[in-house]
Amino acid sequence: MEKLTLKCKYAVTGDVRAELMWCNEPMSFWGTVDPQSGLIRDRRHPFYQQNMNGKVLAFPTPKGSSGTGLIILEQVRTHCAPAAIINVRSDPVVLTGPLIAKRFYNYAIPVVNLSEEDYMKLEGAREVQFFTDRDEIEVYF
Amino acid sequence: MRLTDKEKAMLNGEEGEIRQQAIQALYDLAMFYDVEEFVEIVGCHDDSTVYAGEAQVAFAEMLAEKGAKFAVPTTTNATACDIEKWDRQKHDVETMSATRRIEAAHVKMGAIPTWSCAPYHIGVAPGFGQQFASAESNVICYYNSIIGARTNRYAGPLELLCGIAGRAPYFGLHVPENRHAQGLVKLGADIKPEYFTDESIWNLISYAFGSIVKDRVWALEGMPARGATNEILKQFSATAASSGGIALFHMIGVTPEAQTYEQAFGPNKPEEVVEIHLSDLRDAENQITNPDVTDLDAVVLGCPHASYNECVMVRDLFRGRRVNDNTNFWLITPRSVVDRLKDSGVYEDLVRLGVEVYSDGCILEYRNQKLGTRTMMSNSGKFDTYCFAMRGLQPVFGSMADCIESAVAGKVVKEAKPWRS
Repeated sequence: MEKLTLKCKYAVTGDVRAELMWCNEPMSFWGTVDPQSGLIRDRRHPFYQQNMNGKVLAFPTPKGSSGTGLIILEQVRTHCAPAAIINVRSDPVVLTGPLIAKRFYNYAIPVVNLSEEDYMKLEGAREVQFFTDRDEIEVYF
Repeated sequence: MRLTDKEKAMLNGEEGEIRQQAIQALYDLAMFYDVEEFVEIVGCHDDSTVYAGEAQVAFAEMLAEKGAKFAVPTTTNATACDIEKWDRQKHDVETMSATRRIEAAHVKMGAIPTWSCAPYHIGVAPGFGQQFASAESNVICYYNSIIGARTNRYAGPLELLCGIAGRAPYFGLHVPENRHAQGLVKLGADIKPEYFTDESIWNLISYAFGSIVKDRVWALEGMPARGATNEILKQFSATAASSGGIALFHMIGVTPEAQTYEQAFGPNKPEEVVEIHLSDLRDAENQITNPDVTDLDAVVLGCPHASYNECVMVRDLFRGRRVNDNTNFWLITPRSVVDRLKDSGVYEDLVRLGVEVYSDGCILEYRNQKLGTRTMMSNSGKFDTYCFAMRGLQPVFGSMADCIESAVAGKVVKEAKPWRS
């Protein structure tokens, strides 16, 4: 597999390698994700009918309701949370679930921000590796 | 980060495990946004109260069982149902029991049991310039804009951690320099001052404003200071937060950080100026109303929860006439307002008119299928924005007076308006 190493900023760290789901549309979890299965139910979203359970979820920016924090926590409870999240710009709403999961449940969902340019390089990649001690990710094609 | 001795002690676990975990999560957030210090908050509005799944309930119970206590006065947001009259509202036992568990856990942590999305109506709001943490969108927008208190848009349950730590990372709207307007919306000359005698125009301007501004801080010029009651400004805040995600707006000449144009913008020049016209108000109403309704199954007021004053207005607008036999009329108001309504006799008046008065619950959790409701009407831009996604039906939008006339007739009755032609 071809490998690409990209600099990034970690909001939440973790040693995880998983399959990538990438899109170039903003995303809300609230009203979009089924918290019992991880399935994306929004017909207008490119991830429609895909399941994020155990995947690395990449979308450029979060949007929508502040209910997102509770949805991600419910996904942790029902074992269908994403393995990691990649954004260009994370807001406190999307960070709420992963920050609480890490500090209160010792459960790591790494969240990183990439530059816009690097974000576009992820299109078509198969897997991404995250780290606890490095300011970078490894992308596998 | 520059930390006080108290903050260092919390991070070291000297104030217990929960306070340590809470401030660690806030510290992680601060580090990510390059924030240099925490700011002490005077209070918190706890939004993790409308039942949204077992993880929410389990998290609150875990905090409470481990002895978590709020470090600052913390009010509680609306729940899913009326805690006493849930059965009459056709909520199921699961929702009721989850709500009871949420209630117990939050009270055990020391919350003030307000169970309302309009805590500012019952005298528990922060003051001008005070630092706060809230996660309910209408409360965030009202406290920032109408009062001039300072909170970011927190997401439940992050605001709980601020309440437990008594602190928030000092960034975003906590910082005065970030609160100046960046852009401007002006009213066109075709929106005439006399149109403001109907309060629904405030909601429509707000919807248009939110659609343009999205989540930025902008000012609005041309609104009349006269007639801008707290109830009207509440509707404006709630609608702008729904159509746009607005956390802070400046209404020039009306809101406290925008008494003048210069005050609203500070050192900034508007990066963009947008003028809105009657046609934008028509478009706004078309977005939030259902034109195809005649017979009306339900009228719901109280999104956000009604004030004492609004309950009196509802009674007076009925002028002794009753709610139509084919229509349900729900009025949701904080439970402490219900106590005052009972003290003054207004509660009995409302009941005699056929009005069902409820507390605690969020009207967006209305069980329309179990209640057999196919058509609804409200005076709320927020309710009418979210209702289709959450309940599967699009309500009719109208002023409070339109809602009462429609409830009496059992059919939609809307006054002719310049923006409705």
